[in-house]
Amino acid sequence: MSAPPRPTPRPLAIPAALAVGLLSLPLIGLLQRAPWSTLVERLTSEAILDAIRVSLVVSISASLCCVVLGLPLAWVLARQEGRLIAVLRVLVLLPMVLPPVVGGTALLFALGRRGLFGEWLDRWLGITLPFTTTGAVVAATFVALPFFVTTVESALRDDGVELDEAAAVTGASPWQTFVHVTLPGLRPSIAAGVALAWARALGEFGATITFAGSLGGRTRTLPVETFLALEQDPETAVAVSVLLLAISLSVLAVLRGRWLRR
Amino acid sequence: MTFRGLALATLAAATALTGCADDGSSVALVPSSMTGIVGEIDLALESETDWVIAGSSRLVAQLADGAEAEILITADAITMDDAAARGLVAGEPVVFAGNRLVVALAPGNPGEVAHLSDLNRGDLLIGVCAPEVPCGRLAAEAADALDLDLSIDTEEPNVRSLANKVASGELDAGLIYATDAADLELETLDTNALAPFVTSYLVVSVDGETSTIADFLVSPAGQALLATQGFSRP
Repeated sequence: MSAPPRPTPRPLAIPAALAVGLLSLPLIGLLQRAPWSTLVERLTSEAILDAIRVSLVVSISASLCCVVLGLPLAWVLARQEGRLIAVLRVLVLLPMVLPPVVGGTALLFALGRRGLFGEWLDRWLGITLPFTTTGAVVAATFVALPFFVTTVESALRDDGVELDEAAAVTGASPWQTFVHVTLPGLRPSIAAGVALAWARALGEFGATITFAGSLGGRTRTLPVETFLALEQDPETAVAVSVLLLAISLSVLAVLRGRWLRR
Repeated sequence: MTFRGLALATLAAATALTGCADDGSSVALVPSSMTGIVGEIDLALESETDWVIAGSSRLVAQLADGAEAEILITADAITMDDAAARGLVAGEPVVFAGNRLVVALAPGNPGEVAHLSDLNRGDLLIGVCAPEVPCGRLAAEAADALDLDLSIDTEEPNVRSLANKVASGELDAGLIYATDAADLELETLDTNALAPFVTSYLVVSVDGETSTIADFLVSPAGQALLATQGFSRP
C-alpha cells in the first residue's frame, strides 16, 4: 500500500547517523569490556544474587502498584476534561523529567520519618518507609508510574468512547462498561505499560539510594550494587550491566509486536 | 529552526563544551568529608578551583577512567596506595590531616542512644558508610575491634550522604567523621572507645607538578584552617 521509500535527505541522514552512533557505541563499549569467561561466576556470587532477588521483588511489586494505581488514573485522564485534568497530566509526567535523586529527596521530605506525612505514618501507624524494601518499592513506583499511565492513557484515547457509549445505550453502568468493554480492549496496552514500567523500575537508582538507602538483601538493587561495584570491582559491575542490558532487550523484544511493527 | 541555524547552534554548543574543559581553572578531586572546607580553601587562595567531591574510592575510579585533575586527596592511605599502585598519580603522597570516627546522633537524639552498645538495637535506624569507602572501612574496623554487632539499616556511598541523613533525622545514628558532625552541628555520642579509630588524609599531585592547593594544605595557614574545621594534625 505504500510507495517505495524515497532517499533520505542528507540534512536528515547525517544527524540520524550520529544519533545511531551515540546510541550504539556505549553498548559496544560495554560488551567488549564484559568479562565473558567469568560472567556466570560473577553473577552468581552471594552479593549479586541478593541484589537480583531485591531487584526482582522491588520491580515486580512496583509494576503491580503501577497497574493498581495507574490504570484508574489513566482512565480519569483519558475520559475526564478540565483544567484540573491538564494539571494532573503534567503531574504524571513530572517523575520522567525530574532527576531521580531529586525525586528521592522529595520522597524523604514527604514520606521520610521526619517528612510532612511520614511523621504521621511513623507516629500513628508505626510505618517507616525509608531504609525498607517497601520504601524501595515506593521509590520505584514513583519513577515508573508515568510510563504505565501515559501508555494506557494514549490507548484509551485512541480507542475512543464509541464502544463505551454503545454499552451505555444498552443500560450498562459506567463501572460495568469499564470492566466488560473498556478493560478487555486495553489488554495489549496494559501489557506494554507494565513492561515499560517494570523496565524503568528495574533500572531505578537515584531515587532508591536517596530514599531507601543501600543494604544488601533489603534495599540494594542491581543498579545500586553496580554503582558500588564500579569502585572496587569494575568487572563485576560490567557483568551486572550486561545482565541488565539483556533484560532490557528482552523487554523490548516482548514489545516488538507493538513498536517495531512496520 | 532552519538546518543552518541548527548546525550553528550545535557548533556553538560544542565550542562551549570544549571551552569549559580548557579555561585554565584547576580541578581537584577531594573526598566528601572535605565538603565543608573547600569553599574556605578557595577564599584563602583567592582562586576558583573546580572541586570534584565524592567518596575517595570513586575519585580514584574517576582518575582511572581518565579524569584530568591537578590533585587527588583521599581520606585514607589504602585508597591512596591503590591509586599509586595503579600508576594513576605521579607525585609523592603527603599526609596533611587526620580525622576520627564518631557516632553522630539525630537532632534531639530521638533514639535515646547513650552507649555504643545501643547501636546493636534493632529498633533504631543506624547508618554506616559502604565498606568500599574509607569511613565505611574505619567503621567496620571499629565494630570488629569493639565487638559491636551493629544493627545496620543502610550503607551509604559516601560520608556526606550518611551525615545528611542523620542530620535530617531519618537515621537515629551514624558512624561518621568528627569533622562532618562538627560541620553539620550534630550531637555526638560521648565515648572514648572510638578514639583509636582515626584516618589520615593524603594529598598528591596527579601529574607530579607543584600544586598550589597541596602546598597550601601543608602550610601553617592551611593547617590552621584545617584545625578550625575539626581536622587533626597529621
